[in-house]
Amino acid sequence: MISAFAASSPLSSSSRIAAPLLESDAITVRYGRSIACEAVSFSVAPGEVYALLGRNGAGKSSLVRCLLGQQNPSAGRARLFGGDSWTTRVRALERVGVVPEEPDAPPEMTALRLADFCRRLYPRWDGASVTRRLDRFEVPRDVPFGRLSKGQKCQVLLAMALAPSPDLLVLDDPTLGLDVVAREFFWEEFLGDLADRGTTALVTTHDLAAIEGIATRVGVLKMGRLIVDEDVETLKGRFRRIRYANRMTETRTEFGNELDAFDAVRVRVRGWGIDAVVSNWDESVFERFRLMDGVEGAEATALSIEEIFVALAGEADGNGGRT
Amino acid sequence: MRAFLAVARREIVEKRFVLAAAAVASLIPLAVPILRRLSEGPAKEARGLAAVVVALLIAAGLAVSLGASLFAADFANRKIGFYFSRPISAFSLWSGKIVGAIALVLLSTFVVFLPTLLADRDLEPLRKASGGPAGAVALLTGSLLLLLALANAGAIIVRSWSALALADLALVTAIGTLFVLTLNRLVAHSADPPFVESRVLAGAGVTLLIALLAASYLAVSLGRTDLRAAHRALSAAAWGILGTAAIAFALHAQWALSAPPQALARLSHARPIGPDGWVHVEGIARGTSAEFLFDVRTGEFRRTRASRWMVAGSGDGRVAAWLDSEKGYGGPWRVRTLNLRDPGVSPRETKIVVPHASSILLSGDGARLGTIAGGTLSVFDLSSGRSLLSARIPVPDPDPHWAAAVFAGPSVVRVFRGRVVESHTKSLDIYDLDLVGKKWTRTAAALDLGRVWTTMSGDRLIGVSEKGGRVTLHDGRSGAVLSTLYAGAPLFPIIPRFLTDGRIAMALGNESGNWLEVFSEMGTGGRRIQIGPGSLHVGGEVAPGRLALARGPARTLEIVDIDHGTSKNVAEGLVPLEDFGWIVSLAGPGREAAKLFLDGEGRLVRYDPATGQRRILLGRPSRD
Repeated sequence: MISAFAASSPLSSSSRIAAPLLESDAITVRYGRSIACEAVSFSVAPGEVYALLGRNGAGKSSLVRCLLGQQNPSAGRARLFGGDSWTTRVRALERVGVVPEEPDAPPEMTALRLADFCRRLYPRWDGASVTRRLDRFEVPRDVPFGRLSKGQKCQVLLAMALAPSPDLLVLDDPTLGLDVVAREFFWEEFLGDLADRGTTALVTTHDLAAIEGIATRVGVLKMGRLIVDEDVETLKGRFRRIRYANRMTETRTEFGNELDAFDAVRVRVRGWGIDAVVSNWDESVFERFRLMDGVEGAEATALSIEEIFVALAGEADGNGGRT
Repeated sequence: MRAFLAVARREIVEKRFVLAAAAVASLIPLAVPILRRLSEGPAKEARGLAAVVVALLIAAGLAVSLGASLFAADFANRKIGFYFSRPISAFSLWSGKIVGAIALVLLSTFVVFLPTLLADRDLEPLRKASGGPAGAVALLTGSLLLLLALANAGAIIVRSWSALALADLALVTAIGTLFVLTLNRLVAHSADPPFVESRVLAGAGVTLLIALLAASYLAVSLGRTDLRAAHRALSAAAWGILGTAAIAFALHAQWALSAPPQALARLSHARPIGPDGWVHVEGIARGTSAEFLFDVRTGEFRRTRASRWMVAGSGDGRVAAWLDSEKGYGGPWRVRTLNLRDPGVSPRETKIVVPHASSILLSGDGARLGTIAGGTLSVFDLSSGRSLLSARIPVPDPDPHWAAAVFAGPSVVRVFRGRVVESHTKSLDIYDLDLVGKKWTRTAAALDLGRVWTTMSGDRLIGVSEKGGRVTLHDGRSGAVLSTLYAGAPLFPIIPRFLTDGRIAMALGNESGNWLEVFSEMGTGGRRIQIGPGSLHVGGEVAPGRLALARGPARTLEIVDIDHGTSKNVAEGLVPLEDFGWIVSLAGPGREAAKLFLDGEGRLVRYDPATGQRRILLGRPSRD
């Protein structure tokens, strides 16, 4: 049998004992008649790096704004450190570092002025770390923010986000539009902080290759609905690409019901046979599948997060993933 | 507080360039006298004036431009997320930006003034401003804050550019219209329109400021990074507050304008209109100034829009006429009349409309009305509203003068014209105007009189010489001296009364005490009646031959028996309602008007000396 993932029931959720630092409780965001996200529930536990993935317009930024208390959800609740994000935002944000999708610092402020402004707002401001990072990034300190390159802006904002020694980092597609080198710099710095302090993070990004080794948990938003919310390893363990030729059907380009034992997320018919992505991988089931009449040359390969995401989010709703 | 200071500081630092612009503009006032080649005195005046003009222009321009860029642009391009992703409360962000912007505007204004202040060590226009420099600064700050808040709200609405803007437009029109209509109504019914208008406008300004500040705060607090949500919050708060205020104002106006005379807390003025119990009263009722014609016998009343000087009663007590303002103040004025003998009748609106008037007079039978305005006497027939005559009062010399008139008969108006030199009446001329022949006759010239009192028909005249040492009785037409009532050292006070039987009673006083001199109709046979010390208020005849007067700080009411030459204290704290001005026309003996008094708390009191009954008719006791 082939099935799409039910929007309202994410694939699985391993039990996490510690109280979450960030929680989305059935959040719905509407703009007039259009729905940015609907009944989205997930949480980020201490020490986790949660990668919230989704295509453009999937509702990630709206969700992040709700979680940071910047926007009131149409329904549901967002919680930061256990408190309502909308009402207890100020106290909570003293422990949060944020890098937004679009660099939003006032364009006339230099990096130094920006640091001076932020220094007054946080009780645990580490000014030396800002200096170190700006030096490392080679960001000019006396050039207004508006005149920095996109990569430099991003690096400045990361330096500002890490300076208050935050318990939680929220990165909303921070590397969008950056070149490869700038992206590399950014993720390196982020990884360094994770290694040093074990910071919890919520990351939305399209840079799936970079997040592969960083994220401990993944959520996938598709058309406003959270279709996956799972530990990375569990997720990757469940997904496989299966390729085989089918000799039972009248022509080579058709396929029958041999995949019914799997939940096929996406099935493509190629010239050489069938290319399927399944979400309930099981070694013993696969062994039986290989021995089925007409199944020829079947092989299974593990998938990267990017491949899993493409399989999940890349298909239109409602056709069971068949193409 | 840390966040507020950080935001305010950033706002100032970010836009500090405006101070440089202000510094350049500050040179303009210094250049004005040089360019106009003025000498030192006029130069200082010109510098001061130019500094004020330039500073106000700069301040207003900055308030608008900084207000427009305060939040709207940050909302529109989501730059406001920079603040909301940091531990900055909406209040700190809002107040920090507002305070920073207004501080910049005020600093720029000061920078414009600074060179002029250093040059002249003074800024005359600011020093002379009403309320002094502190008042001027407070008014300027409030006005600039209002401009800033207006520009901010306008920019958010424009940047949002949603259908809600149409609702905004409809609501501002509706609320504005309601406010203007209510204000006009309140002003039109007020005795002191400029005061009411300025008070209401000041209140409206403060309300608008509060509404806009509250709305802009809610826009930031509830909108945060969502411009449309900010616009919704702004509109809901602004129109909610302003709409409620406008409706409350309209309801208040309705309540205030429907106040009966019983709502008068304290009467500022009361005057008998005729002898039978109708009085014109003024005071504050439900927070607004109010004037009524009030019948003390029945409690009936009519609200007027006439000040105390624009109400007259006919000698026969049948008709009252007054000038109601048509548009609040400054004229034109519509003449209305009331039949005082027919209580159920509403005031009649005549066709007579005059652009302005300084006084009015009514014929004894109430058929004709005269007005004096700008040296012109106009006479109208009240029943038809027809103008009978309008004539310039003769001016034989260039000195300033006053003029007053009475109807000496159905077809004769007698005009008394006083020549004024250095604020004192030096002499008096008398003219008769024949309404039929339309001809002026000067009947008396250059009488040496400083103060005069006349009967209602103008047939007799009592005058005091300019120096105050001589009191004489004159024929009202020819001015001929009929008798000398007093001659000697100047006295104070001198208050004469024409009694209803023709006799004359005159209250006099000096440092040794007060007394009453009683004369015959022709001013002969003076008889002295001693009365108590203190300042005097002389009323009417409460009974034949019995005159009421109040004296001293306790306002002791004395009834003087003129026939027997005795005086008796009968009550405390009552002052007779005196007829105003120079025409003595108090009520006849025993009539209601003679039994009306004002007490120390400004209440209208009826006191009957015959029975000792004392009843408060209008006014409320003080809370002390």
